[in-house]
Amino acid sequence: MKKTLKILAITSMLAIVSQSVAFAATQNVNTTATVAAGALGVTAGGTSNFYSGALSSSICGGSASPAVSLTTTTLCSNITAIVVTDLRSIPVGWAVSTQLKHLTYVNNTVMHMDASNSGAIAPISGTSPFDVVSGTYTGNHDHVRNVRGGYTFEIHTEGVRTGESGTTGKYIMYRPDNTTSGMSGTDIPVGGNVVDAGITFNFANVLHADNDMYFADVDALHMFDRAAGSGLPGIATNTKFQPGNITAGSTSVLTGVTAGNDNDDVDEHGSSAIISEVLPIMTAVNGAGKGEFTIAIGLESGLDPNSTASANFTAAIVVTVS
Amino acid sequence: MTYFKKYIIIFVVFVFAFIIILQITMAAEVRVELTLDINPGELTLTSSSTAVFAEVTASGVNESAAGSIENVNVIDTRGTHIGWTATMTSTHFTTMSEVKFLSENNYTGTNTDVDFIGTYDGLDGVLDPARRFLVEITQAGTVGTAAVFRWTDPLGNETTGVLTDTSVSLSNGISVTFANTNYAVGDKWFVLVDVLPYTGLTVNPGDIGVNSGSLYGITNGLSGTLTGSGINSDAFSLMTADSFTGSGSYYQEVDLNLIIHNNSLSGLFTAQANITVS
Repeated sequence: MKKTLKILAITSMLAIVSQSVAFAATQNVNTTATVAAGALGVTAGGTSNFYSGALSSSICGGSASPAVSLTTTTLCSNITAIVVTDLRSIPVGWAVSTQLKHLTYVNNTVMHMDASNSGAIAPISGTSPFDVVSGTYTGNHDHVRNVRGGYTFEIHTEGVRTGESGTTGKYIMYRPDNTTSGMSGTDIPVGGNVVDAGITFNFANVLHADNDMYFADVDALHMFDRAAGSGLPGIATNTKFQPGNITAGSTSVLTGVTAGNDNDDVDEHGSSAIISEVLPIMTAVNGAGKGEFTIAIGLESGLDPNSTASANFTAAIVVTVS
Repeated sequence: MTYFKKYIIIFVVFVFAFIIILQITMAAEVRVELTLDINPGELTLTSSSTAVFAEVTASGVNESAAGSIENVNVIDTRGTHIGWTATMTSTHFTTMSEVKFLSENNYTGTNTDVDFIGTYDGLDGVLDPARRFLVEITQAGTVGTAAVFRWTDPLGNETTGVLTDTSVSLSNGISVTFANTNYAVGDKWFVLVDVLPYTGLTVNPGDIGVNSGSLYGITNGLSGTLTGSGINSDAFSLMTADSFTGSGSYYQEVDLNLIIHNNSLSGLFTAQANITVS
């Protein structure tokens, strides 16, 4: 029995070995590569300068900064290299847009008119009784054309901040468009902070003398119209917003991707008065827009006569794609 | 514990799914800085270059003559809005007659060898009758080497022993010139001078017009008479822009009225007005 089993085992092994030698061998290997969906993104040139000049087919023809002028100066700028990349797996389309803001500046050096010193006006030295603390001016005031474009705070009633020891002082705030906070005076608030048009002013914790004035310069290059109302004059600009031609990446297809329409008179957004209406830059319809697409925007506006000089006017706008 | 593990696994799966969905649908944005630099212009002033008064006939009583300086135009494009003031000064109105030649035997000769040049400053004041600058040769000879003269000013002050020359300064803005010739002792030349002092000039700054900007804070000066004691009058305010105002272009006409004293010389009286803004 054992002998028989041995023979059987040996024969079986030989059979297996002979099969291994004689048969062709094949092996199927399943290889896989996982491609993760990319993102929808947008980039743009970081800074766009305004120059004296006009747009020609959305290209700004200016190269030099303007000077203060007796008449309106046409300014233009290009926001260049707005690049949309859509690397998502499903091309569902997208829309790029922005909203303009007024270009503004705030002079943080406050002037002081000391009523007890022959009305002399001078920069504040030493401990300041009044300061521009922070903020970005919204530019939401029409210009008073020959007048320093600024805020004036006049002490209406001598006194201190609310809550401090002594009589509470009152002030009148004259805005750049000559509107006021009320001619009967407003109490200097607790902590001294007064916020208007994006700027925080501060009355220091000192006795503020009657009839003293503090001056804080601001100015604006208005970038969109504002309707008049509530005693405020309107703002008219005729700002032009002109998207240029679209360039597609080497592996991208322009079909279904279009530039936004020219807008030759940009208006405000709702009643906020601090940002313009939404301005379409470029749109890809559903099923299009995959890849990389580049566009530039031309901006043209008018610098009002008798503007403030030697100031750096800025506005931070946001280009959004979704 | 098993259930807890299941929940963790489900949670992780959801988080990954959410991230993937976000990648597909999330909006993106980029911030762009718009900037503008504005260069300053200048503060300038222009006006008409001449102001002609109406003609007046000399008489035995005081008269007056009217005139105006037109288009006084201040342009402020500095962009500082710090205000400005436009002022004017004036010299006295003076005149000088033609040169008269006095020889020993001829008081009305036409010898033109000597001339008087310059502009009389009028600082001797109104003299009635009008006085003269007189030059007399006191030593004969040629110019610059031998000929010597003496001269008197309108107040009668005499200076002697002056060597002739091509041009010799006398006083009050007046010089005398000698042609290159021989001069004889006793020959005299003189000119009459007269003055209409600026203290007799009334200035009336007119209403201000605006080419660009706003009249807010811009005021014209008050009408008044010029003052002073020097060659030029004290500054007289024509228009002022208060602090924090004045950017733009503003213009006005300045009316003038000048007293013509009695028994004045006839002729063209001139003065130099200087208008400045700062």
